[in-house]
Amino acid sequence: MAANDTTQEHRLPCGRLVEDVFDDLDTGRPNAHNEECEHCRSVVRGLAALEVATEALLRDPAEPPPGVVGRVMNAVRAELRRGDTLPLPAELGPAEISVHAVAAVLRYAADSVPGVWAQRCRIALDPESPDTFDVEMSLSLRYGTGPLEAILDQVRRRVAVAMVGQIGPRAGRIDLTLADVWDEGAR
Amino acid sequence: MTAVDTARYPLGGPGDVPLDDPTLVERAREGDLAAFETLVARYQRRIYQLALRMTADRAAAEDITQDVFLTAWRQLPAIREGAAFGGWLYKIATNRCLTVLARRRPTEELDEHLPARNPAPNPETDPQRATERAAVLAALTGALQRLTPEQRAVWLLREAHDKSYEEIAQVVDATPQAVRGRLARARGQLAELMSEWR
Repeated sequence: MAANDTTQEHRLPCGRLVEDVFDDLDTGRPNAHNEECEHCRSVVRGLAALEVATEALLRDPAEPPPGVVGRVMNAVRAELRRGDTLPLPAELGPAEISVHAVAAVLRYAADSVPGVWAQRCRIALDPESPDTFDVEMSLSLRYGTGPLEAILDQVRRRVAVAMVGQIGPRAGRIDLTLADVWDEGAR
Repeated sequence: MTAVDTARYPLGGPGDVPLDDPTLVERAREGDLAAFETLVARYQRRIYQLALRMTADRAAAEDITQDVFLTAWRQLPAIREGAAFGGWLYKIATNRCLTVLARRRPTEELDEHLPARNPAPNPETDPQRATERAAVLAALTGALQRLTPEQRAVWLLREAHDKSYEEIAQVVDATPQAVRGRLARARGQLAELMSEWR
């Protein structure tokens, strides 16, 4: 911050500070000087013009050029490490699947339960059984959605079905944690 | 909401609510590109408008907007609270604008007739009022360029982006009291500059 930015005041040629004129306006204090002084009247006019301009700014139709989202996402995609992969069960042939892809499918399955949003989703090969993936998922629940146990059971079921039906391996342990709540009315 | 949200997360039903920032941030951190794209779509207009009013230069504003989101992507692992994502973006954007402006040669030409040169589709039906609105916006854009970049940032965050003193203080690394002072001076200077406008 430049030094003058913190010390500079706006003294008018009549000797009053611009800030004083604002204070008079804000508090509705009548001030004979303001009404007669050319400089103070000019500040009052300026403030009125500023209000009109601010209103225009809030309705500013300036939109980002089309394609910004696409260009950002292309750059992001170029940077994204494909990340870890997990081997698929042997009967599906020698193949690997990205954990990002598995997580996306499982989050989608969890989201299909009303009031549930999946957040984190970690997947690991079950150490005991190579055709089984274990899942750790955190959830955000709509405020007032309940009962909790029934909802978690439903999420577990849908995640397990999506795992075997859409990816192939069986779902092993499915650890769910409640990380957040969201409120429909608040948005 | 944008098409991005509904295309990726077609949950259906009238009670359908767009995913909140913390959920999208958690997903994006794990490499969920659709979640990150939703965040970009959600904030791009706000960030672009801030950059546009800070620089008065469309090309610079576009570059800044892209840089801000790419930086956000790279720094996602560092963000602790998903709920703070918006404020965090504003901070990246404000710093980026200040850096760009500090680098700018003083003689560099600005997009002075910014709003007039691009009479965007305006819901205003009365053409005279629309013209007046464009003119007053042009005057304000010019006046804003005469503030220091730091004052301009504070004024825009408060008046155009509806940020509280506390939120602005976080963005510009100052105390709320300092923000209040800076705002009062910015407002005083703008009123003085706008008093010349008819």
